[in-house]
Amino acid sequence: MSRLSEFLARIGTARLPSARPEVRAPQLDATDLVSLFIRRLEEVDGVVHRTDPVEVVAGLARRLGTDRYLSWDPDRLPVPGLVAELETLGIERHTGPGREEVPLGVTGADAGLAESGTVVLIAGPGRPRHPSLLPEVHVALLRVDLLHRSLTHWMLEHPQALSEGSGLIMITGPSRTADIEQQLNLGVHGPREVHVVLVGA
Amino acid sequence: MGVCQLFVTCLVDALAPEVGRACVELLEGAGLEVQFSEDQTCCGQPAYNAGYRDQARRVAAQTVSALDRTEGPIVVPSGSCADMLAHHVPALLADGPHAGPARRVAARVRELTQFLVDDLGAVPAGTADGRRVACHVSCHGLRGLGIRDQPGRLVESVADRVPVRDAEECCGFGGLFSLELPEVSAASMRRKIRAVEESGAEILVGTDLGCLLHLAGGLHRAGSPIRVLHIAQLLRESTR
Amino acid sequence: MSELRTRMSAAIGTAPVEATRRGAERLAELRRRAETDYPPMGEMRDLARAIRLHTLANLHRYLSEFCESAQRAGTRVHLAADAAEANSIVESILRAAGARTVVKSKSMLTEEIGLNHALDGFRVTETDLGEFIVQIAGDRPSHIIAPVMHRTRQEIGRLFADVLGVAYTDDPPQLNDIARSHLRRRFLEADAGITGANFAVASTGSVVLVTNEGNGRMCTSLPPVHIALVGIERLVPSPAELAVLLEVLARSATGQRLSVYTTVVTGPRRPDEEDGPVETHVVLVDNGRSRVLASEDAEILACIRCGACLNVCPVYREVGGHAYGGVYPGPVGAVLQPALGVGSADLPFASSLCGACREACPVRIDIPRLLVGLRHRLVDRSSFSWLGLGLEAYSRVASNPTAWRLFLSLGSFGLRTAARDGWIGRLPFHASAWTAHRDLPGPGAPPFRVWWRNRNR
Repeated sequence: MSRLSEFLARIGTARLPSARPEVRAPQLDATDLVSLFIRRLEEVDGVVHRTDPVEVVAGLARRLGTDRYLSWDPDRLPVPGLVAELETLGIERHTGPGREEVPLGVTGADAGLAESGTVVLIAGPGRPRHPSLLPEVHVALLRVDLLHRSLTHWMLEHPQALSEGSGLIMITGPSRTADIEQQLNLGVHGPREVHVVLVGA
Repeated sequence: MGVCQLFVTCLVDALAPEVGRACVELLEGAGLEVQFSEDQTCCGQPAYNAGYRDQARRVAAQTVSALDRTEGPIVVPSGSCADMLAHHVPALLADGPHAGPARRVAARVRELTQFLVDDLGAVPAGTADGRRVACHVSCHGLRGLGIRDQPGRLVESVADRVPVRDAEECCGFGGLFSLELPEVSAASMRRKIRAVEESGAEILVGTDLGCLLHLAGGLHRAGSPIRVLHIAQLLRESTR
Repeated sequence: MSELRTRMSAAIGTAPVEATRRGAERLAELRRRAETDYPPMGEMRDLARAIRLHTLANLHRYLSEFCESAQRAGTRVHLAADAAEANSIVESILRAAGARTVVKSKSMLTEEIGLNHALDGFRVTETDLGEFIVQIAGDRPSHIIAPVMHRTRQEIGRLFADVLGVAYTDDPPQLNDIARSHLRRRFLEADAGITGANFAVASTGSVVLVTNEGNGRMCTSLPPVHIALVGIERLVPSPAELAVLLEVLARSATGQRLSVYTTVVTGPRRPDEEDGPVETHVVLVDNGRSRVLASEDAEILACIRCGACLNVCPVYREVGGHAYGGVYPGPVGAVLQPALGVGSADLPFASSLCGACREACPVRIDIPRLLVGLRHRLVDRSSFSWLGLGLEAYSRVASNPTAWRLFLSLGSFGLRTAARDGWIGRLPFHASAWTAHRDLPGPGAPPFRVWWRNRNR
């Protein structure tokens, strides 16, 4: 690490205020987190469901004309039996090669942020990144008890979240760009549709 | 009866003495004794903003030592010069013999509309005469001193104020900026002039002579009939 | 005429600049709305500022903490003193990994160090839609967060037809789909992903990337190797501070409550993970930043690259991004580039000092103060100029009340004599720049102080 000390030796002292500020969550008027989450996700073109997750996934599969979907491992999803029930409907969890051809992805979620309509997903064994990334349509199953007010509120309560997995992703609605004449387009690289099914509501 | 000082600013002194006279008469009309120290010159801003710190220091020192020998609030008919005296001169002179005067003067400086509205509460009572007046609040007053509605309130008390699109966007004057990047400055000026013309105003008033000379010159060059006045002149005309 | 003035005056009123203005005004409006819609925004900006300044003041400590945490998480940390070193580090990582094809996510730092140029032996594809357009057009970005703000959809349509061999369309959704399918293939075949970083978290060793399109996620999830280039000033102490900055960044950049994707990479994939990079590298880049940190310009390093100052700047709106020259345009660029010692030295003069940038800046950087400071040091170093001579004379006269009175009286007399119907249409020397565009109202009377003395006689 001698290289590091040499590198750091170049860095002098800045004449700037050096006190470490205390981070506190902003004071906000109390509100119902579920309805706030729904409103905010809809504002960024996401879709929120409060119905049976099996029906939501099956309905999307039918609309997309597919009988396959990508997903986290069955036991990592917050809806036990979802994979099995879908199978009885002829809709199968896809594993192995060719995953980029599958138009539907299903994941759980580790937190929901009501103020921005965001779902947080932490990658790990049985919880891969690609089901929320490659398909045209991503469905996140979010337990309502994991809803928090804002990113700052959640992060203050879960300071270890960043280290829990090698990859953490916060998703706020479908992929979008306004690079061409500031005209909004959905689905540049990531999913064109983001559906969140509230579980345990 | 209270005493106040007029820091007339170099531009008003040389190019628009009638604005200085209007200030004196307005302040006297509000019941104040107005004093004017003839030792004041300029706040030093032209040199300061152009990067000539030593030259700015010399000029600012002259003015703050003159003003420091006086008493009462120092009223300035320019947000830009007031911002310079209130915020930049104390830092500029911090390390020399004029540090004390600069600090004391800074604490006494008040931009004209700020002084009339916030300190005196001297908004002339409802005699609006129906003239359509657009109001340009200059950037340094706006963002340096937080002067947002004071000029507008004064205008509304004597005339019909018309809103101007993008009212808080810079007119492009910027002091020596107008000579250093004149094409850019003129492009902003034309944009501001279009906005003023679209507002339907007959009169454009402002709080800073620099911006007003720039806009008046542009309007005149374009053959526009819109009159340009410093806010002190409008108020003086209406209260005569 | 200075090079800067020539460049800027040539840009005024051109189609790319008009397109840029529309984009800038739209983003400025979105930011304003986001600020009004979220009452705590003011205090969050104060907090964000305090966090940034605290981090910079303790950068030494946070950098060594970051190195430790990142290595603990399995990331290999590399240190680059300058652009050349950074580029050669990236090249050797790619060679060691046997990489040929690289996908890149938009990064101002890699623009700054000219990475794409240095990697001309590899197949490098920019994947942000705007940056991809810039790349295939051989253009330069004109805005920090919206690189092709200066281009029309028709231009982009023609470009796609020419370069990608597709049928011409100027329909943005169709252009979007063309880019999506073209770039999807690149993502899937890439050997390595290169990104910048919006933030790097000292306590966890994480690299944080914000995108709306999802290309940042693709670059950090699909290829086996991920390389993040991180300016040393991008650090934040811990996740709590990160949260505050992310909220403030999204609202200030595009008026969003959060960007669509905030991607956090904390080391390579772990045992039993099915996807994610096998190798993660962080290249910490100094490239002049340590010098800026020790200078009077240190505050500019607090910038979080949201672009808000560009959107509100009257000069940027009038001349667009390219006229500034170099990588960082707008008010932040007018400070950062001279502070880093790149680009036109006279950039600090490209401002009317209106202060709109300071008002919009999420971390309240006093950009006008920094611009004036740079002007002072520029003047201290420069030799003779006519303006300098004029200001020296002005300062001599204006520090002597008797001389000042005489000067005002003579000047006023001269202008009154020169005026026709109260107006002056032509001024000599330096002042001709004034009358090239506007008239000067001549004074209607002798100076104020003459009237004052007569009145009180």
